[in-house]
Amino acid sequence: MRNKLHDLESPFNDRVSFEAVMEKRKRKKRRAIFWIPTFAVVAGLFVVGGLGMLWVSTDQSPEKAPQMAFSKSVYKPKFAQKGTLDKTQTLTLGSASVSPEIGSTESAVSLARKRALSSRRVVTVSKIETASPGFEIPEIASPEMPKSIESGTNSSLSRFMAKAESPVSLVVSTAESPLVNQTNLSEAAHQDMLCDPQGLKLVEIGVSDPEKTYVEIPEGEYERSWDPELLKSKWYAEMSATTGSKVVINFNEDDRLSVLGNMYHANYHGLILKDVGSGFMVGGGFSYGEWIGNGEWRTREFEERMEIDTYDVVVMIPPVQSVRVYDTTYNQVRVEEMGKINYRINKIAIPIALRYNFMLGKMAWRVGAQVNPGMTLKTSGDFFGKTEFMPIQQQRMFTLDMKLATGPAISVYKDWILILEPNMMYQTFNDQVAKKTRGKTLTGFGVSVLHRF
Amino acid sequence: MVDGCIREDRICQRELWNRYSKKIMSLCLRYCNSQEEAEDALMEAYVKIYDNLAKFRFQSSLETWMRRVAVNLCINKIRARKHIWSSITEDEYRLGYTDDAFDNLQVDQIMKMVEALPVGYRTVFNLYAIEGYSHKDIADMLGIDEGTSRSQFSKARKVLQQSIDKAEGGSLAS
Repeated sequence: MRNKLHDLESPFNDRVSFEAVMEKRKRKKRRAIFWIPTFAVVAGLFVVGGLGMLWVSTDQSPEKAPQMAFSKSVYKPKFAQKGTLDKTQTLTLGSASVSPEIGSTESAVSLARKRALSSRRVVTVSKIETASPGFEIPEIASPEMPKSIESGTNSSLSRFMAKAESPVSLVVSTAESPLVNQTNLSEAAHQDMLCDPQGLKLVEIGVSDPEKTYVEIPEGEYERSWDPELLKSKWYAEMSATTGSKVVINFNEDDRLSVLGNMYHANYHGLILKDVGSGFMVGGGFSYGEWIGNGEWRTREFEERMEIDTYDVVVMIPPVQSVRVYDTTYNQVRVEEMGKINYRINKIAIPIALRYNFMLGKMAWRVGAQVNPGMTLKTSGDFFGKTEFMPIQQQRMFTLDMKLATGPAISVYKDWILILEPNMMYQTFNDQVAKKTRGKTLTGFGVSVLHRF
Repeated sequence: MVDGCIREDRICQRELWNRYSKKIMSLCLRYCNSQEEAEDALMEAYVKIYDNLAKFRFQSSLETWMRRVAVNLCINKIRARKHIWSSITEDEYRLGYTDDAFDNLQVDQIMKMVEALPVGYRTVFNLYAIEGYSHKDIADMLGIDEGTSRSQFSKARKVLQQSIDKAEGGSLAS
């Protein structure tokens, strides 16, 4: 029975044929061309996004980094001047004694550092206050600038306040000594020590574990003015996937050759962009694209065909004879031929991009223009237009694509922006055999992810 | 021919189609519920065959390999339908027809009987009695217990035996 069934052959309908299988196979491949790279890009974007979020949440989150390096906690106003405190003066804080370096904010900080290192005693400048109405408080524009930093010393720490007659007071805490002592400093010394004639803002600074958080402060760092703009990077990375299509239809009966087909393209690029101000960004990168087309060609030709009709005429007049008559007619017959057509062009390019960002109502929008000069990687098949098709040369060819896109920009996370872009892409290649540049404009949709460094 | 198919030679691919498509169609018909479904399975099987022919290692005959591809595809279709398999005891398993019972029947009759079986019975019967897989292999392929596979086969045999008796009774009466 097994053999009988093994050798049994069953017929199938006409719709099942070798050609149908090949067509199905081609459709499957075509789907893969678009979906596999698209999925790969989207997955890549998710991975990059995930890693970025992880990085942001671990390294940048203020909740997870309550202790800051000493150098980061020092706020030095721009107009700070070096103090002129008499170096023989000593500020005594319980068992700890503040060395005469206290003559400026810088001195106070280095005092704390030295204390922490030399005597295992945490001397933390925890509060600097000003009561002088004449002092102007400089604005700290950056949200990143800590206005208050928790002191990591244990709960048994006592706080000492060195209160001077001057409107400025220095609050110092120490790790060991429970004693409280107040030492008066001269007004001039205070003014010098707290250094900023423009006035001081309420600032709390400190360290929790000086051994761990101590960071060597390079010479001259205090002198550098702090600029919140430094935190804003002007560099961006963009990854994008773009697709598009075009339908080629020619129903004109007068044309000898007409093509009915579809063209598709998928383009993937990575760019580095620089914000050049006024909403503009410029940049460059790398791009890979696939441009395929498939369809049918049909030729319509009129042939003049000669038809000869013959008939015999019998002449009844004796002698009876027959005469053969030849009747020749010329008819025009329309002959149609059809065939399949397809092509594929894989290419790489180095795009040059220009972006313009603007607000429309409450929505951020972006207009992007891009030029992709490049070259073909792989070509096959016959390129077609409405009324022509020609083989694509196999050698490498120069390509030039131009893309125009616009769409809303959606901020999906800190420093991550998603842009949905309907686009129009003009794709060309230089046919060196025909010495002609061939191109088509395809329209479609793209997704871009922008990340600010 | 295999090399030609791997090189995407249309002539070889067509030859492969001409030589085996009707046999594969017969196989698909035994697994599928309808002619249309079997035809779809045949085309899908050939797409897979053309795509994966480079993986053919010549460890079996080409036909065997192609049949296996087609069987796996049909099995996947059946699994996707989430057929619920019923199970029987070992005693029931011992009941059923003998392989000789088919000897007096035409292959078309056998085919019709097999096609008339419920999906579960038919699948296991095809795999075990015709393709020659073991119950363990069938259980792995279908994601069922080995006992379930045996039970399906046993029930299939019983149903087939009844069909054979009916067919032979009919032919005797005529």
